[in-house]
Amino acid sequence: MVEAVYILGALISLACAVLLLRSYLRTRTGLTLWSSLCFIGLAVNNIELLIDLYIIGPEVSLALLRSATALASFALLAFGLLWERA
Amino acid sequence: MADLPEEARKFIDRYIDSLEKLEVLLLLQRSPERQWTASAVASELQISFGTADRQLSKLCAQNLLDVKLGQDLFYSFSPHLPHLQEGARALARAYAQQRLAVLKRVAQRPPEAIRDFANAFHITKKDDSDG
Repeated sequence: MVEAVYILGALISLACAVLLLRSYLRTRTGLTLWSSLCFIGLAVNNIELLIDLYIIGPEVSLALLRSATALASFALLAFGLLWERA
Repeated sequence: MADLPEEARKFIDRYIDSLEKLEVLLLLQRSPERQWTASAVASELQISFGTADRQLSKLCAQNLLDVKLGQDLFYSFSPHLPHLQEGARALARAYAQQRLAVLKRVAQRPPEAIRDFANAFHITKKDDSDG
């Protein structure tokens, strides 16, 4: 059941990324591109979580990689917001 | 302040989301025979190259401009559909007669980036025949 939430999280993040990317291609608004990249990162983050918890087992931890992915995702979003503000 | 004519109001609401876009469109509309590059538009309107380039791309995507590829991209005013031609003409007329009302209407719209972000999540397809 818990894994379903992570899978759903990844799928929804991916859907948001696709919608935002589609909007970027139509409007060329920077914020939609950066938000799209953020959501791609969040989708990857959820996939990493699934791999970490259910595929590779407890002997190897992807916690650092997962945190780095989440940080990079939100950094992209923050950059997009600042870029738009400039 | 008198209300804008309906045709001009609808055209603004549908196609003109920033003052830069308004000025770029009116500039090209004033000389439809001229081919404009983004740098020429930027220099004429005293705006940045990036802004001019972005607004030209958007107007082109909305079928209001033609673009030709040479050593640069050359844009000219050429609405592809009759209702775009009529709308743009109504806008130009309103701008000449009720400039402040036009500027106010455009300026009151929410910021473009926020609107594009929100519109990204509209899954149902709008009429794209005119951009």
